Amino acid sequence: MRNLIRIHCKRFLFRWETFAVTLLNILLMVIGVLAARLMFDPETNNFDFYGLIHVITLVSVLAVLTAVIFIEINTLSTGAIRNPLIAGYSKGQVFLSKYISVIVFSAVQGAIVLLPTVLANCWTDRPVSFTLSMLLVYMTVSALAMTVCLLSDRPTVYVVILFGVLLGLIFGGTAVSEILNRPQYQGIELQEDHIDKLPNPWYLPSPKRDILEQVHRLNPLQPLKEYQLYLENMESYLYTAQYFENTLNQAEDDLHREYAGLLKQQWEERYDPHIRRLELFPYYQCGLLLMIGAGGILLFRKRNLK
Amino acid sequence: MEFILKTNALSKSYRKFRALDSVTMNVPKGAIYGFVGRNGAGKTTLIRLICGLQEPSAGEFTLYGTKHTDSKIARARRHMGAVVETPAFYGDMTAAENLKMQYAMLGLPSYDGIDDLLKLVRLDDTGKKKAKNFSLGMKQRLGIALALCGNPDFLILDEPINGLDPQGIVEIRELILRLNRERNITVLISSHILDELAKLATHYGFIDKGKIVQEISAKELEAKCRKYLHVKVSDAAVFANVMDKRGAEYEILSDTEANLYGEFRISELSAALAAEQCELLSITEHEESLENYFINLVGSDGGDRA
Repeated sequence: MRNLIRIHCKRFLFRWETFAVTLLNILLMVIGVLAARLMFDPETNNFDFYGLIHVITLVSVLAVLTAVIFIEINTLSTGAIRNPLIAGYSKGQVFLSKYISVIVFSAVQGAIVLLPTVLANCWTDRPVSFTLSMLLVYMTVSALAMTVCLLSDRPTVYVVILFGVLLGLIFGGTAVSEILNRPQYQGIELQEDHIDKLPNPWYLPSPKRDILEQVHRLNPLQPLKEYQLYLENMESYLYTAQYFENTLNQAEDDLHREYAGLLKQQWEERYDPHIRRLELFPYYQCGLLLMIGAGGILLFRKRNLK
Repeated sequence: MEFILKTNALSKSYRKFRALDSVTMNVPKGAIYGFVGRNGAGKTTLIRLICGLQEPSAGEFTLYGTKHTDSKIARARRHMGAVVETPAFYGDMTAAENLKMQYAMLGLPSYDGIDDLLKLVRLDDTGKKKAKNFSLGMKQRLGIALALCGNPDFLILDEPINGLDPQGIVEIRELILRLNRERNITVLISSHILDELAKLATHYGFIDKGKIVQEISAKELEAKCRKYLHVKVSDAAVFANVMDKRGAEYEILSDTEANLYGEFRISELSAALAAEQCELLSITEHEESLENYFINLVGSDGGDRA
């Protein structure tokens, strides 16, 4: 099977789509690095650098996805599938080798955009898990596209649907993130002898919150938005978390302690999930990749090929 | 006799449609096996099963003595090459590049033999021309060249002369004969162009509506193909009466022409017709063509199977 993987990977080098998307990714990388080095000052936050990174990665992911679709959409009519089967490779081997080659291709393209920006020292925290999550976004969407192309009789139709689904996941993920970010209380005011709590009518309580959180973690495109939100708020989060900790420790009485506790809880409820999601995303993404691969092999084996 | 391919009650259904129905056939080693049937008879379906593109619904086949359910079937397939329906190749590569890809996929240690293959199929002068710009005949020959990579001793060609001009047909025919005689390659060739098969095949398998109707060697077929007399008479109705009295098998073609099957003395025939005032104008001897044999075998209800 190593031969097959090598051949499929080599095939990417011969395609104009590879050339075009690589050029685009290099351009995006240059923009990201220049912005990090020349325009962004983390102390003054003079420029929406994280928003720019979000846009760069979004454009790059969609470009890589488009390239994979263009390359794979007519695969069944070329020798890429039929010839190895006739030569004695199993359907599982043929599918898996293609799957791996697409993952490698998309990971390389993702690395072009991400690594230099990471190495430009603009991530103050978690560069490894961030880079891994973002690379996994590239790999997951590309793997999905390839699987759709190989399994459907009318790949063009299903690819258009896939594009729509992925765009829906991007916007849907943003919307879900907004819902989960809503605080439990619209206002918390310390009075002389009590605390006024104004409940937020738009707050989503458990168990719906827990279910939505799990669904949110399964969204393969969520890292695109999640890191932007996290990084934008990280510094103030660290500062504010310390502030609440100090306030709690210095509380004069139970009322002040409860008040500080409520503020801290509200703050953690808003920002801790970002951290938790970021820590868990690589596992969820890897699980998703394994599921797509395993499911793809099972379905491809049953497929009546021409 | 040694058989390269043996099928036993092989069946394939697509939902409610039974494409193959208990097909039992045997391809002898060293033969050119002509697989004959109308469009939609099941020829390509059978070939797809043997090549591993699809799985049988029932029954089994063995390739070089290895059952299709055996894990070693992959190794057995390494000894065969196939062109299924249309040739499968990379259109954006030259003929030589396509062959190199095939060699790499087969794990062959070097590219020795590629030039000889290109010369064998007369594609050695194509240079840097991309395969997508080849004529239909050239594409067919490239498909055969790809199938010949790795020196197989069993070649499956699915309707290789479809769409070819007369010169292309002659080239493919000569190539197949050369491969069989010089390299002792067993060939399974499916076609509905019977006159061409008659010039090639050493064995025949007739298939109709998914069932094998008959398997026969070329020698046996030659013996079976009936001779007949084509007669011109003054009155075909009188001729028919005379033949009915004699219990002879005949076919009226027009008011003055008929075909007469069986052994007859011309003098006796002439005398019998003269007694009924019917003149025998001319008489010529003919042999039944493969086409007529096939039509008589399967019936002439006409039309292709969906």
